[in-house]
Amino acid sequence: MIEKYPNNADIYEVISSKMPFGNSRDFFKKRGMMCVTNRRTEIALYCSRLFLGFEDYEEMRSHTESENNYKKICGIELETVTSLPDIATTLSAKRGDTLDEKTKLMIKDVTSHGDGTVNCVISYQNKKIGKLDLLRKEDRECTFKIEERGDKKLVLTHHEKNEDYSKIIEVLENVSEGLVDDEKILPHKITLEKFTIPQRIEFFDKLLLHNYSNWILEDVRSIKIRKGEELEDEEFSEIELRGINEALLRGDNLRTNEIVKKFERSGYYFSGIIIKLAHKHDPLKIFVETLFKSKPVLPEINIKKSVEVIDDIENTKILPIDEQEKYLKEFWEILYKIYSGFIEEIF
Amino acid sequence: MPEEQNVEGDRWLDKAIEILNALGWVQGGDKKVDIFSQKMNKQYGIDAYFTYYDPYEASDIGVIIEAKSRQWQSVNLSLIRGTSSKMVEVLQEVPLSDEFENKLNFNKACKVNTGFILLWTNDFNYDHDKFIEYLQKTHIPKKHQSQRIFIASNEELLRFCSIVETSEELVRNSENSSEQFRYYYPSLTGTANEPKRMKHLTLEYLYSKYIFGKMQIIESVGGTSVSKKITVVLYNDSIILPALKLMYNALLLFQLLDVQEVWVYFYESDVNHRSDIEEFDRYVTSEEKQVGFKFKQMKRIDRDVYLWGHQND
Repeated sequence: MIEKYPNNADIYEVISSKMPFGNSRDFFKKRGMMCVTNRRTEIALYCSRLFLGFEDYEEMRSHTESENNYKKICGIELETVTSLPDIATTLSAKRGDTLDEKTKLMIKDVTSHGDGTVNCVISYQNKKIGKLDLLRKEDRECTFKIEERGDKKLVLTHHEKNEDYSKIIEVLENVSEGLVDDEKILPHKITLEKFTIPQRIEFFDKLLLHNYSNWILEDVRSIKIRKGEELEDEEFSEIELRGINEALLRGDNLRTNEIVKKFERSGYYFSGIIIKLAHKHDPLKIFVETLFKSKPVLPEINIKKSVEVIDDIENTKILPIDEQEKYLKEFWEILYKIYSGFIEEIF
Repeated sequence: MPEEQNVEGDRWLDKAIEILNALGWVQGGDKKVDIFSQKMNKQYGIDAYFTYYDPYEASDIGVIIEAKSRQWQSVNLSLIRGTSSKMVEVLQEVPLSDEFENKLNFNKACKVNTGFILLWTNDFNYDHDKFIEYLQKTHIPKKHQSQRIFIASNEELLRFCSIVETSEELVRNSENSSEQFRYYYPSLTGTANEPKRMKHLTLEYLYSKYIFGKMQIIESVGGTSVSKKITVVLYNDSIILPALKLMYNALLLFQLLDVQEVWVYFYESDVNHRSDIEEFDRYVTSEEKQVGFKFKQMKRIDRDVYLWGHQND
């Protein structure tokens, strides 16, 4: 939260070098000021002379090119026969209790919505390297949502750190302790570990060949590979990536691709991809990463970057949080549909 | 009816000119002037032209005015896109024309790259959120030669009238002192500008969340006249504690706390924010600078701008 009033030189620097051009123009356009220019420094010069307020600077900060301003999503399946209202009751029963003394893990709030979904807010303390102290305690809060998916329940969260995800798992395990089996709400991780190595490649093949309805797959920007059960990821080289892109453009099955075959023979499988998608109707392109992390085992989708296309030029533009969340949800639904379909197919 | 629209258009233009005069701007030439561009071989209709001195630019700024009055059903994306595109062309061509100098600018040394669109919705269906949505969807061209186009709808226009009303009251309250109320332009980092006190508001200031002012008032204490230095903030930010604290830090940064009192005028109604204001009051009392804060309400102008009339001094 901004406390110290920024001087105009700092505002100039933020607008001219930290805020993407499209975002800076939109920020002022929304406030009734249209800057007809092709230079960020011009916008910065005029607009650093405005005396903006608290919400303006908070919004300005959310438009700067920092990793924190790009959102992500992850999900967990729940192995339970309990209904959503009963899950809400189970979570509410533990509200305010300290579930882990060391990290002060706690359920802060549980809300049931009209559409049947349940929202839960948890809090905990995390230790991080501080500026003044070598190690300092950070109070964190994280919200997750539980939704119905056919006969399954799904937990979704826009986590900021891996710890958020781990703590959600811990809460679900903790509240299930001591309950009879029918009442338990145990987390069931969405992971590649259920598949053999060739199946893992096939899974990514399905992901890449999927029809993204509102989007066109323009490019595969990166493919992460992992060997056997090793935890570290490696990345395809540029030449290998070019070969994969060409194969995809031809609509080829990746498992028939020579490069992929070579890696598969050496025991490698795909653990993550970054694809560039172009919106079919809006002048928008986004770089989406689907990543199956190994430590902790965590499936997540990240928006790595977004660009607005003006006069055929791509300008970085950080999307508003609600828009990012809308797209992330859309991509998560695709990932989950492919994942559950594939599970059904092979088991 | 086109005739009725013309009558309403003329009426609105007169009101818009009245507002701009009240902000302390100086009109150049007549209203509704046609300017011929030799380069484009085309005539451009200019509603009005105003200038004001910008202390941060250290020069006069020329502003081309477009005043439009419409019923809400005619205010749409296409109107805003069309009006702003027309302004882009006007700003590109008109200042280069000889007729512009002869009829409006009279060879004044002015930077003319600013347009101001005053769009009034003349029925009660105005929807501010929808207006912002239209603004966000309006495409702005990228040009090497930069221009600035400001656009104000009912919400902003009524606020401008409110600023004028409140400022005039402050001028009246301070007229017997040695320092009448004036808007205060703080010195900015990296500029050679000294802080300035002025009678008028620049466009950037109008679109700011705080407008600072300074004055002295004479108060009678036990039969003796005592003068008191006041800093004024015309405040258009949210009335929440972090926003109020940020304003306090702005006052510190711009050295505006060397006074006996700070009068903060809220544009938004403060009725639902009493606890934030009380907490802020406790916060400033605990701070090193022992300045008394007074919170007041700006004069709100009714939604019919025609009922508002500016009294010339």
